[in-house]
Order: sequence, then structure tokens, then C-alpha cells
Amino acid sequence: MSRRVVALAHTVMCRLLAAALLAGLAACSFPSAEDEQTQTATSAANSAIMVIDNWTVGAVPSHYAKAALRSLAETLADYDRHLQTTDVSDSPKQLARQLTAAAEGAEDAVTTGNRAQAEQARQDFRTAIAKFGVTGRAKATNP
Amino acid sequence: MKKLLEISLGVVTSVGGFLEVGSLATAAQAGALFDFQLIWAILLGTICIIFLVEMAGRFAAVSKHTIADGLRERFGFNAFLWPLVTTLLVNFLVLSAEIGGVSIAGELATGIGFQWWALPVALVAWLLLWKGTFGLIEKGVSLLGLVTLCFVVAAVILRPDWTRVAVSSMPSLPHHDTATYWFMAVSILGASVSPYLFMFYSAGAIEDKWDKSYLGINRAIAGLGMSFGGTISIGVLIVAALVLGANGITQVDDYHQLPLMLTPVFGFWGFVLFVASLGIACFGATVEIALQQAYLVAQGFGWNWGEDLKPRDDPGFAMVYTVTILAAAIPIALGLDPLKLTIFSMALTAASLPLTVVPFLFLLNDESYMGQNRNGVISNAAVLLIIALGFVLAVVAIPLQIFGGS
Amino acid sequence: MRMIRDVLDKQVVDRNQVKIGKIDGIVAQLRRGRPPRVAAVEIGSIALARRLGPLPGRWMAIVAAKLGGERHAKPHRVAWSKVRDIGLDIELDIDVHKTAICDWQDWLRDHIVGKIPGA
Repeated sequence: MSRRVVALAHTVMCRLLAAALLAGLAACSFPSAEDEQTQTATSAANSAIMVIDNWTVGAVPSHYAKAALRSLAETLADYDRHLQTTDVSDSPKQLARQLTAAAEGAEDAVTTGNRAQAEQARQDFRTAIAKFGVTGRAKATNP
Repeated sequence: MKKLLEISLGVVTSVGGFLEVGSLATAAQAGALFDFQLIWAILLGTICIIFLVEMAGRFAAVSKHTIADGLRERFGFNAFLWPLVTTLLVNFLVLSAEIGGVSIAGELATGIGFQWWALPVALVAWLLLWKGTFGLIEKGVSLLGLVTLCFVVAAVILRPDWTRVAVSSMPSLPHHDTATYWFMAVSILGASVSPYLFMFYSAGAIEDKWDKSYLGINRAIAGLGMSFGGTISIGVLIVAALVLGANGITQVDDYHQLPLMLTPVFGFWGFVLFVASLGIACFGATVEIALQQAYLVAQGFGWNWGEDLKPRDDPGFAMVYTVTILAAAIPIALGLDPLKLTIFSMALTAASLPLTVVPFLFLLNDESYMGQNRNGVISNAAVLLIIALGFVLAVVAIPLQIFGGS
Repeated sequence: MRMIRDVLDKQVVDRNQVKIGKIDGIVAQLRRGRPPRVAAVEIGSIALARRLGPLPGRWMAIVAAKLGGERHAKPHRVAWSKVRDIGLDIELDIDVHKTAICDWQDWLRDHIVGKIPGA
């Protein structure tokens, strides 16, 4: 009895698997590499803004803010490097540059304890992100 | 009265011990990217673990075997090798991720890089296993883990639209990033239904010398403990959705982003609470998983075992957890990103679940082990369905994530 | 009693209730015209390795002999007559400290575990 059950379960699982694979492949929307990268960049930028906000009101220690901004800056630098090599118009490339610059500025600000500089970096981030548009996608790509 | 105390203690330790780096990371990413949509995955995983934990306790109390012991005995050594090797490997990755979690907490607290924390953390965990008793580990560490309830408190303070939360308890199709959605669902299932959780529970039941009179207590602990634990995961998801997602942070792939979840709610105390929650929850998991590796090997090979014994009385058992904890610290000490390791190992767990759970289900239906207390149709069906779902999703979603996404 | 279901892979304890290991192998004597007679049980890594195949068994025997000397070159065998009780565990009427079965655990205790403070 047990053997029959196992064999039946095996057949059922195989059929389920095949069906799921087909359904999965058919239904999946693959975000373009472009979209992925943009999402990573905007997330990093928004995170940086939050870090600055928290640091300014003393909700997070400076060593954390510095390390966080360093890490986010690296992500944005990667994005910048990636865009420089792809075939997009100048406008997204400029945005990437602005983001990287803002991140480095923020990191400097936290290291030196310069609140004004941090606020400026925050503004720079906001401006650059706004240019990405409401959906957070670089204007150069088609939805 | 004594029963009530037992149940309360059991529930409290289950709740305190529920959250760990896997459930934290997966819930955070899910909430940030998909708002409340993936709450159903946490619910499904929690339901599954409730059944599995209850079965684990019932199996130990009635058959007086632990799961590892029972698996070897019932299926023979050759068949036992499959769940043994798979579980050892998957546990190793998860253990590494947990050590990584504690290390991250150390870095966030002090600024000293997480790589430097890996070996000290492993050492402290090892010391606890070497000198401590089972009671100390089970109750002490888990009680401290209650700090993770801060996520539930935060979720309530943030005043989500509870109707939307309730609606999200039903599965729904994603509107974007489909491949990532299903990959997240798989990772959440893997984080909720970790084999080490229910296997550890059966070993614990034997350590605590449970018998048939504990069946009711077992059901209460499994049901209440795991349910409350699941609400903590849901709390993390809600907080991530309302704090991270709402502020345009949709990719949580940098562990520096995580403390930002609680600071808007609790200010500087949010930072402290997060670090404490992460550190304690992952430390508890580290100790448990290392112990579980030792249980698995010792019980599978019939060696002397028991956390209450002195290491000299069960040297094989003691050496397994010693070696495994030190080895698992190495990838983190070498700088492997704990967050990436976590998400990956959760998905792998979900894919490997059938190898451990299906034989376990056979044991629970075997009259010679369980007598009158065999599984009912509902238990069998619920677990089988969820495991099958997890497996199918894993097989589809993991390759897609690797080839299609980041 | 069915040997594979009730004996093989079962937990073994000695006469002092010390956990020895599991029944890793069964030795049966084939007899002409009569059912085989169970002669002994085997415990240990060599017996276990043999379950995977003759080659792993041979390798394990070589490794065991290299590490432990001649005493460990063959699987540990306990005569069937020594089986005292078969219940939750299989109780053998031997004192494990007089056999070579737990030698490796003793070695671990003396050379590694015992040397770490707090053991």
C-alpha cells in the first residue's frame, strides 16, 4: 500500500512541477536590468535621505550614519559606473553623477559633524530623485 | 496550575525564540517592496510550522524518540543519509547567517566591522553550550528574545489600515516584479518552516522528559507560541511597508537600511531596540542551530547526547557543536555579506524541506511509533500541501531569480 | 520478530544503560535447508560504511586500522546471545568500557574535549 502511495505522490508531484514551471515562465514579468538598477539607486538614495534625517535629530549614532552613507555611496557609485557604459541619453547619466556627489557630500558632513552640509546633501538627493519621476524610473526608459 | 505555568513558559519561550535573521530579512524586504501583499506567505508558513511543531512534540512524547533517532531507525541508514546531509548543509548556511546577524548587530552598536565579531560571537555561543544546561538555553535566551515584540508595538503605533492587513492574509497576484514576488514568497516560507525549529523541539521534548501527559500542553505551546511568533514577523513586514516602502526604499539589500525601520517610531530607542532585537534573536538561533546539528549527528549515530551532560560525558556530541559553530563563523569572518547569505539560505531551506518533512510525516503516521496518536487527515494534508507549494515555488522561483533578477 | 524493522538501526545500550550506538549491521549464518541464524550484531563505522557498499566498507576499514590499530580493523561484533532485551532500545549484556566500541569517544575525551577547560 505504501509503495503505491509513494508512486502516486511521485506522479502527482511531477505533473504539478511541470504545470507550475510552465505557468511560472509564462506569467513572469522580467524587469529589465535597467529598471532593477534604477530601483536599487532610488532605494539607496531614499535610504540616504532617511539616514541624514535620523542623524540630524540624533536618532542614530554618527558611526552608524557614516558607515551607512559609505555603503549607500558605494551602491550609487556602482550605478553611476554602470550607466556610464550603457547606451542611454545624457540626462540619466547626469542624475547618477548627482546622486554619487550627494552621497559623498553627506558622508563628509557626518564625518565633520556639519549639519548644514548634510541638509544640502539631502536637498541634492531630493532634487535628483524628483527627476526620476513619480514611478521612480529613469525618464530615459519606456515603461 | 502547574500545567498553566508550563504552557505559559513554553509559549513565552516560543515567542521569544521565533524571530531570527531569516524571518527578519525576508519580512523586511517583502514589506518594503510589496507593501502588505505577502502577509499570506507568513501566515501560510506559520500555519505549517504550528502543525510541524505540534507533531514534533507529539512524536517525542509518545514514541520517546527524537526525530533524528526515529528517522534513522525507521528508514535505515542509507535512506537516512539524505535528510541528514541535506539538513546538515542547509543548517550550516543558516547558522552562518545567524552568526552574521549577531555580527551585524555588533557592528551597528559599536562601529567595529561585522567580520571582527564573527569569531567572538561563535565563542560566546560555544561557551554557553559548553557550560550551560538545556533549561538555561531554552528559557534564558528565549526570554531575552521577547525584546523582538517591539516590532509588534511599532506596527500598532504606526496605525496601519487594518482592513488592508486583513485582506492581505489571502494570497494575491503581484502587479510588478513577479519573479521577485514569488522568490520572496519562497524565502518567507523557508524562513518560517526551518527544519531546525521542529527537530530542535522534538529533542527539547526528550531533554525535558515529556510523556503522553504532555500532549495537551504540547498542542497549546505549538498553537499559541508559534501564532504569537508569527505575528512578530507580520509586525516586521508592516513596519517595513509603512516606514521603508512608504519612503521610497523598495530594495532592502544593505543591512544598514534595517535600523531605519524603528527609528521613526521610537527615535534613538528605536535604534537600540533594533540592535538588541537583531543581536538577541540571532544569538538564540545560533545556539539552537549549533545544538541541533549536534543532536542530528549524535542521535542519528546513537552516541551519548544531552545538553545537561558535561562535555566529557558526551564528547562526540560536544565536538559536533564545537566544530560546526566555529566553521560557520568563518564565512562571516571572511566578509561574506550576511544579508545576501540569509535570503539565499531561506530559499534553499524551502527547496530542501520535502527531504526532511516527508519522511517525518511517515513517522507520524506509523502505528508502531505513534499508537493511537497518529496524525489525522488534516495534519497530513495541511503540511503536505504547504510543503508541496513551497517546493514547487522554490524550483520555479530560484532559477528565475538567479537568471532574471538581481 | 522482524530483524530489519525491530533490530537494525535501533539504539543500543549496554548493561549500565550507557548509549553505545546503533545496530549498524547484522551477522547471519546461512545454513543449508534451514532459515539463516542470527549470529551477531555489528556496531561502528566499518559496519555502517559497508551498508553503503563494499568499497566504502573497505576504505573505512583501512582508515580505522590506520587510526586505531589492529583492534579497530574489523567491525565491532557482539554475539546475538548477549542481547538481553529489545524494547525502546536494544540492551546488550556487555560493559562497553571493556570493548573497543567507544574507544574513539574515549580518545576524544582524553585528547581534545578533556583538555578544554570546563569540560
